[in-house]
Order: sequence, then structure tokens, then C-alpha cells
Amino acid sequence: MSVSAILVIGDGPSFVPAKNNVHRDRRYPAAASMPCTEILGQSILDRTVTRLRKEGVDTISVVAGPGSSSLAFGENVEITVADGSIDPWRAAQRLLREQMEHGIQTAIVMVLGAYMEFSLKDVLEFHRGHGQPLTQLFDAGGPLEFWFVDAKWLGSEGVPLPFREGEFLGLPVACPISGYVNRLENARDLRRLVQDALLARCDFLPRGRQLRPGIWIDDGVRIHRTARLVAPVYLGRSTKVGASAVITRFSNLEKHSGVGHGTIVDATSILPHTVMGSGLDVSHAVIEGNQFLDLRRNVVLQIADPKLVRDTTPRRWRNPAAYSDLPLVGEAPIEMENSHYITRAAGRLSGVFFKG
Amino acid sequence: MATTRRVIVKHLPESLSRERAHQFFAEVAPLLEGDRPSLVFDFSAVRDMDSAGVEVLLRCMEEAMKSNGDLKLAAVPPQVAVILELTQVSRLFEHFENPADAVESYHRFPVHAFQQSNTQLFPASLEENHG
Repeated sequence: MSVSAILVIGDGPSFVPAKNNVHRDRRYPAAASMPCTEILGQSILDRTVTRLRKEGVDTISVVAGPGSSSLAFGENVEITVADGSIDPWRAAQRLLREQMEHGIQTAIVMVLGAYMEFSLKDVLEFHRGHGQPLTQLFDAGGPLEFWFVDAKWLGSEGVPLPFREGEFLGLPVACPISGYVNRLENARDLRRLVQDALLARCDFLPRGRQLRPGIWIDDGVRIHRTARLVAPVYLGRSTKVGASAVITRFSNLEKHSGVGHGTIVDATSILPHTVMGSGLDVSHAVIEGNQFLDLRRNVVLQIADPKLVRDTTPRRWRNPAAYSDLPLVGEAPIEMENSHYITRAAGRLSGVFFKG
Repeated sequence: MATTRRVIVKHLPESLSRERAHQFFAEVAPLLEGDRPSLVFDFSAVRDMDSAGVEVLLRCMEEAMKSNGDLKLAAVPPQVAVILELTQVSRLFEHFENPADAVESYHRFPVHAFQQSNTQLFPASLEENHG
């Protein structure tokens, strides 16, 4: 089938409430955007690309908004970095037009954010069966930012992206899906996704292998012999767990994170490059770098004390402008084939992985 | 003969971090001297605290205990409560919503504790019979 996909990564949604007094500066670099942050060893972006490929979509383009960070792609994915002066939607529209010119009949346009499981084949049949040029996916929670659009209609109407409801009479056609959907709008959704994945309620499989039932570990994990892992838990690539530490109740430690000796981690997500100090009791939280979200109190704070939490993100990722090894052009988006870590060019991200 | 304890309410600075913590302890140390010092730390202005702040709190508590006194915390904002729980020291202190409640607690007989043990001794039905 001649179907292409355009995945748009914006700056948001931000997980830090606007009223929050958290101030971001270079001491407190903003965290990676949600679709690019590894969850159980793999980002939503990577998982989406893999899924689309499996379903037979060969032409996949990713449009990253200004400030996108830490993107690691699979192979043969065209990447467009829209810097601060370019709206990602404009870049997406241009790509869409180009794809249509190359003979693509139907395009998938989606905003990366939500994690969705459904049969692409069934939805495509629905789209074609209804004979309408624009179809949008819906689940029990309402519309999802996922559309099927026909080339002919797009060319003739000159439709601006993103598609807005009510702009064209009778469009988009609502296509209900019944598979697993997690909108990943805030940190609670992240925790829910981790729990669902570790309980195998969805196909969101942790990377790595099961050491024992419910205990997932990835490559290069170092666990002190006196540390205790209580299933289900996940330890990502090159994580370290200190002496007498306890990791329990659906906690996940993502790549290059660590937990000091004697620290208890309970029902908590520790995101990449975050190192917790010793003798702490972390419960019901999501932590990324210096940013700590207490889910029970709904409080976000930035902890500058390295005895408690340390952000070990490589310096060049924090301030890519100083280390840029990829060109940035203000006027036009840059396109690269098979690139890894567009972050390095695109700069730190403004979307943060917390929301009250 | 009735005796009342003199309770001192100490308002904490906005930041109880590494730079400010030692200075704060120097200010508080004289209040911890003497017999049975009774202190309330009013956290209402505190916005920032780190491990140095936690250490100072523990030191204050230690000094108070040495003299058979006590240290209670009042108006602890959520950000500080997170740090206290993270460092596992929260449970060492009695917490109150405001300084007035904390001060009052020093003058109050712990009735709730007595009631609790009393309820266990006398089941609900018996309590009703006794009026």
C-alpha cells in the first residue's frame, strides 16, 4: 500500500504546570520531550516507527520542533528539524506535499505524544471504505491526534495543517479504535503506562531480558549483591543500584540512572541520566535530572543538592549550542537522512516531563 | 502547683540550604541550651531546603533531646515536606499546621494517646454502657 507517515514532535505538552515557580536556566536544563524520553528502554518515537514499519509503512518522516532533544531513530527515517523560526506544521505540510508528488496516495499524520495500539490495516480499511478524504482516530477519551488523509483532496483543497475540526463539512470522519491507548499527557500517565507494561496489559514490552519473573534488566546493569529488587521492576541500560538499596512496586530506572546505597525506590520512575543519592526514601515520584515530581502532593521541585539528586546528562546535550556539530539554518528546515541524536543540533527542549 | 513550659517559636529563613544552614544553627544554638528547651520551627517562609538544612534540623533535634527538650515543626510547605520525606527524617518530628497548634501541643496532655489506649481496653459497646 502506498501509505506514508509524518510524525510531528512539538514542544509540548509541558508536564510542569504554568503556575509552578520552577525556573529553568542552564543550571536546570529542561528535560527531554515526552515522545523522545525512553520509557522501559525505548522511546515512544522509536516504538511508533517500529510499529509503523511492521504494518508496512515504509516512508516515515519525523518533524521535530524547536528544542527537541535526545532523539534516537531507527533506520531509514527522514528527519526534519524545524528550528525556532519554522513552525513544525509548515515543515510537515511541505513534506506531505512532496510525498504526494512522489505517488503516495494516503498519508498518516500524527502528533507524537499518545501511545496507541491498534491494527493499522483495519483503520486503513475503514478510511478507504468510507470514501472520505480525512479520517481521525477516536478512543473512549475523545479524538486522538492521528489522521489519515488522501493525496488528491489535500492537493486540490490546499488544506493547512494541523487539521481542525469543523473546517470542512463532515470532516474528519471519526474512526473508533478499541486498542490500548495512553495519552501520556502527564507524569501520572507515564506511571500508568509503566504499570500496564510491567503487568503485560499492553504490548509495550520492556527492553532487555527478564532476570526473574517481573524483574527486567537491560545491558550493563550493575546491582550490588546486597541490593533488593522486588518484582515487578525495570532497570535500564547501564543503571547502577547501590548496596542495600531496594527497588520495588513498578519502579523503573531508565538508562544511565542510579540509586545510592540504602535508598528505597517505591512506585517511582527515574528517567535517564538521573542519579539518586544514598539513604533516601523515594516514593510515588517521577524524577528527571534535578526535577522531582511528587505525585501524592502534586508538587514539582528542582533539587540543586547533588547529595540528593544529580543530573548526569552529558554536557553537550545540555547546551548543544556550545557543542553543535550539525548546522542550523534559520530560514529553512534542515533535512538529514538516518541521523541519530538530532538533539545535538536542535537544542534543549522546552517541554518537560512533568505536569501537575 | 502548676508549671508552664516556655515555648520558643523560631521563624526559619526563606532558604535553609548549604550557604545559610550553618548561620542558622549559630542563631538557634543558644535557644537549645538550658533545661527542657521547647522549640517550634515555623517553616511558613521556607521555600528551599537541601541536605545541609536537613542536617541542621537533626542537629537541633539532637541538642534539644540532650536537654530533655523537644523540637516541633509547623507550617511545613509541600516542597520542604518532600525533602523531609525523601531524606527519611519527616517521621522524627511532630508536624503541625501552624505555630499556634505546635505551641499548644506543648501545654496539652496527650489525651488522644490516652483515649486510644482506653478504647482498646473498653470496646465501643462497653463505653456506651458506661455513659
